Amino acid sequence: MLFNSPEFLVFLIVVFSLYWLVLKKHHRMQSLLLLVSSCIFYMFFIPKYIFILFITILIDYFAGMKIATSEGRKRKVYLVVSIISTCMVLFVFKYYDFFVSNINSISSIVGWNYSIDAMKIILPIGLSFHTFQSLSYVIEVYRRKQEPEKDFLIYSLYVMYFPQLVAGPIERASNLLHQFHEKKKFNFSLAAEGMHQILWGMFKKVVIADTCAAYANHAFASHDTLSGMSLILGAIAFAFQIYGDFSGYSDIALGTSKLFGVRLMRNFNLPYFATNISDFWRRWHISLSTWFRDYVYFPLGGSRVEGWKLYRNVFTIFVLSGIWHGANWTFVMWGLIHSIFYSAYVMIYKPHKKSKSEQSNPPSFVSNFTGGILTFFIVTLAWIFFRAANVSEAFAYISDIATQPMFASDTKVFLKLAILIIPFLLLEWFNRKSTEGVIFSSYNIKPSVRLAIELVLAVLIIDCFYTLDHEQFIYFQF
Amino acid sequence: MKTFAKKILFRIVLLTIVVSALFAMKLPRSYYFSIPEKTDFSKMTWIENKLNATPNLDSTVVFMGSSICFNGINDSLMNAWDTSSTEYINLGLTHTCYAIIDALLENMVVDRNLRPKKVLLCFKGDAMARNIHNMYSLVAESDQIIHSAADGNMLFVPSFLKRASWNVNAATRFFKHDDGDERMIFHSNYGFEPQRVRDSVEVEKIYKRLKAGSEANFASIEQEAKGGPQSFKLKLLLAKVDYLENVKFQRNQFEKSAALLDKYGIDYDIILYPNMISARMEKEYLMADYIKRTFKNIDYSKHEVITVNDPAFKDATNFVDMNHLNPKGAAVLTKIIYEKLSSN
Repeated sequence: MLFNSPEFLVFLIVVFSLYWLVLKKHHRMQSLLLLVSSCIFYMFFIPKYIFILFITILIDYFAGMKIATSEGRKRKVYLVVSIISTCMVLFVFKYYDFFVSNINSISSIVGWNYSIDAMKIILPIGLSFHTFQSLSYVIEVYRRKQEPEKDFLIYSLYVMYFPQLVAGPIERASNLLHQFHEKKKFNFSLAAEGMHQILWGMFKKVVIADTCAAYANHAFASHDTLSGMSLILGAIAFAFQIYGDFSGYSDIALGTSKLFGVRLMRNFNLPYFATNISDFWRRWHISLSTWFRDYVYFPLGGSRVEGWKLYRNVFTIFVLSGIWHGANWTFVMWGLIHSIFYSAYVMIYKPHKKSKSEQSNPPSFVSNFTGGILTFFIVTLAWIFFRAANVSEAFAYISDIATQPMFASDTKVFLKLAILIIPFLLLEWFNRKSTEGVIFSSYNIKPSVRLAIELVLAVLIIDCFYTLDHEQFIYFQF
Repeated sequence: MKTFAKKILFRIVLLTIVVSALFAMKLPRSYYFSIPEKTDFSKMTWIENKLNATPNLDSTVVFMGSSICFNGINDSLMNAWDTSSTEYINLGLTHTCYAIIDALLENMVVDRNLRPKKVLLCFKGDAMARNIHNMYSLVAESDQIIHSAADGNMLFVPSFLKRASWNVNAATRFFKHDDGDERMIFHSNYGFEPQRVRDSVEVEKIYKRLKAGSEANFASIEQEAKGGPQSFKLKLLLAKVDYLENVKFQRNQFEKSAALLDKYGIDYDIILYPNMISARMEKEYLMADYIKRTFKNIDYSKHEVITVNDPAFKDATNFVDMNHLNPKGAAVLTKIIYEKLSSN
């Protein structure tokens, strides 16, 4: 079930009504309702895959209990068993075919008569997200930062909670589990905030992302015939497509969750206003970047290590982050580009060696502005690899930018994008102080004006929903 | 909770009013018909332009229907064969939907006051139309969309919202990328479009894949024709098809078209287009019986259900898939229909 589908609207109304009208005094039944709804939500994709999720839940639930009650080497064994079994599911479904095709390519290059058959199985939706969420739970229990969850229903809900099941945010047990235990009372302002966030998320997805998708699809499909400027604008269109798509999804997830009285972590914080690449990664897909920071970067020594080890750590997290996105060399390249620019940033500015007082000195407007432009350029360059079907297509796209005439009649068509993107960016800028990006929540706007804005957004969503091709949420495939 | 529900309800009512006002806006027909021009449905724009340039259809035989008509009746051949004043025009368009055919017919007969010499309605050889055409909300007038709710259109809300969306699109289309493809524009003096030829081995593969499903479909129609009690499971299935898949509405629309032609005294027949599976199983009569059983208001003594039983339609070299004829197959069908029409 997609968030931008009529089925989801009906589903949400039914679950919300049952939750607050029928079961408002039965906290446990509310949790059960959320779990059953999450199962139904998940089974809309490929029903039998629910068993994979069930097995993962079962393993990590018992592993969490065992880790907490064991001491010494046993704890580590349980942790390793849990990590391996959870990651094995991810490997089989997501990476096995990629691994096999690379083995086959290598064996044919070196002249071995050896090939392994690919499994060609469909990837369970959101597998990477709930795998990482489960991993974070067992690691936190192992680190004794989290009590094991004894209630199987609550633990299952932690993994399966439908607003964030298929594309995050990748929640931490410390943020989510206690909320499921708390008795819920309907909170008007939270629910209203949730509705505004859903509306804004839908706008970002249906109006911004899907409109930009048409430009990006055209640019990537015909890059050998378009002018250089059109290709640059096509890459920018993809940058806004993926931002609108994923941050829109996250807004809908956060907003939906608020309707049930549960706050999820913020996943985006105006990433295209980042003033450097490090700042970008503090603002983009925050739940994933903090996951890699806490469970990979810090255990490797983080930025406290000296010399080449620091760059090894940067390289490791970005390449892993690329592979996390998908089994394709394009994602590895995407991670690699980020690691190169991040390393260059660390090498030049040495932010890890600056004292807190040095770090708190605000940079000048000019420095922020040029830094912002440069960061956006780097990020967009990396998006070309993310979007392309394969690495050679990405290089061909970049080469076409340089070799095709810079302006042609098609450039005018792509310039229309500015009419969409510039007002959107301005809106985001004015909205920068709002709580969790909830539209205009930081402004004291007259109710009638707020209502008018809501209506305009809703009409534009309906317009684009029916007149544009629907693009599936990009991050659903991960 | 009550305050929240009230505020949400208030917004829903307000949005409904705004969207209804947008729905009611009447933009020029040329705008609506410019939208499918560079899509798979470019024939719609062609039909609109053709009718705009046609003062009358008094001596014209009009073929209406889906892609099996569009790609199956070669009107240029018919016009070449017939030396009398009678003309032939194929107004078939891609995708099966009787609601869109009805909207086009109503525009032709009522709004344009055109009276064709004869109309040949189209019926698919193996199944009823389902759901609704992607372009229905563009072709149908707003009042037709409203009436479709009374006729049982289960997809009324999307149809309504789609029309409102296309009206808003007139203002917002500037910033949307026009991803239409010039190559999709249908250019012809005639309404027939030959299908690309597909290797008959490929067609046989498709046949093998779909045979079992079609056989089951024919078996259930046979069972239904025999009458007798229906199991609860079958009743549920039929209800699902009728309502969730909008088949009941499609049946209403077909009957409505026939009634419209009767009302205006326009002669019409129904062509049951050949289907490779039904031809090989020699069960063409099944769908003809289904039509007669289902559309009881049609006077079959005046309006014929034309079935074509010819060995050519058992031959994969005449098809591109189970329902669509290649140019060679279309020429055979055109000849049979032409002879049938000439003999009446």
